Amino acid sequence: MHETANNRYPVLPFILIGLGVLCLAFGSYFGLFVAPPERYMGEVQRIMYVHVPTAWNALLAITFAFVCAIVFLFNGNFKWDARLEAGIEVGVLLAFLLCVQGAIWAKPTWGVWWDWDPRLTTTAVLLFAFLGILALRKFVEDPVKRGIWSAVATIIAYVDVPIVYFSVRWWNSLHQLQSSPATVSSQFYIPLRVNAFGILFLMTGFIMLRARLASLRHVNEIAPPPMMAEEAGELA
Amino acid sequence: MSGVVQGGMEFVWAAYGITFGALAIYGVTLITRLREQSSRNTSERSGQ
Amino acid sequence: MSAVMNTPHASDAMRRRTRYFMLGAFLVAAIAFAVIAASGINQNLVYYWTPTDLHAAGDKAYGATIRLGGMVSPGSIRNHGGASGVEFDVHDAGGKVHVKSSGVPPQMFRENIGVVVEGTMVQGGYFKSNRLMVSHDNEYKAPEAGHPMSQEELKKLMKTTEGME
Repeated sequence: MHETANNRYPVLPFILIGLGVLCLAFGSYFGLFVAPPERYMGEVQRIMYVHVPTAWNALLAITFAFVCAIVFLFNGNFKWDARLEAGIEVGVLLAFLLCVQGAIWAKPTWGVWWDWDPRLTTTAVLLFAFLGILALRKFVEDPVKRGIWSAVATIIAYVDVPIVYFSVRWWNSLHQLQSSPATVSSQFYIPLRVNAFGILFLMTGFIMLRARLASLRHVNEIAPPPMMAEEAGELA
Repeated sequence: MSGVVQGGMEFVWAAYGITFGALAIYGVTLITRLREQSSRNTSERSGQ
Repeated sequence: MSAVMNTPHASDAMRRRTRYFMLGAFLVAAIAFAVIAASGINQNLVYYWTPTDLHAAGDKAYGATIRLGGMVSPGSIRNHGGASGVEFDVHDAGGKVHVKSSGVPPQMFRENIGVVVEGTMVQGGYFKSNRLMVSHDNEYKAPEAGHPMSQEELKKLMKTTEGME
């Protein structure tokens, strides 16, 4: 009876995913059909309503993984190692989508798909650094070593997040400075904000499910029978 | 040379399509992986 | 209770060890951040040169493949040679550089917009480019009264009509 309860899906992540889908449906409908085109970018500016929310949430997911790395190294609880893995995987997915959306937006506006501008370069570094950490986790068999190494690597790779943020200020770049409510027409706020919450809810639901998956794997590899868990920790 | 981008909705559709398509596929594979892992855990435990 | 709750804790010995790992990681991260921030602030790494930089470099600016960034000077845009290329001046606060660019410019290309061009400074005193990129600023505005018009253009228009009555 206990086991059946364990294997039932948790409800909260599904509520969040549903909420996220609703927000994204409304925000994208508004962004695609209701909001006016931009004065110079025309219709193409509508890509902003997915691109900017993706950027915010990608950095948020990676920041969550960074916090998990610190907590894991503090208390050694593998629950945080599972959450770190979840945050990185979802963060990498969003960072990849960010680069693709950016390229699709850049072609009709800047005139090129890609250039090695500081913002684009540091974002690509972020994507590949965390992709590397996911690969590292695949190749390290020992869960304790895997946990420590990936937490250390996450803390080091995280320096790139403030660098991505400041890249447009520190160096001259093709990518524009951060927008603010003052530089964006109020007609564009609704799709931007609704989609930002949409991706936030969706991402949170995904991270919760993904962390659960990682925890189930931990249970299988670290502690085949649950009572051996203590000894497995001791051996490390 | 008006300085205004003409048309370009195909770029918009591509960006939205890739984003939501990828998120949907990720969601489906996530649930599949979770389901497989759950049943694996249950069968291995009951085998003890 | 749940599978998640059963995930093991590491031993005290391991936890003590991992805190040193964390300190080490933060140290490495802080050093990396300081080095990169300093290189950005000292302009050791540059993505593009401004017209001012190009003038300051003098003869050293010739020959190398570089990027030049600045604003397109008003009234300077010309088609050149009947082909798809364009000629224009790029300026910043401290100077102006004449650019000859091949290929069709992006649709957003116009006067008073930021551009980054990749190419070389050639003898004859102009910048020869085969890659023209338009750099948009961080302003996203709805068109006013159905017409694309920047605030400056609007102000200009208002000034020209002011004395008409």
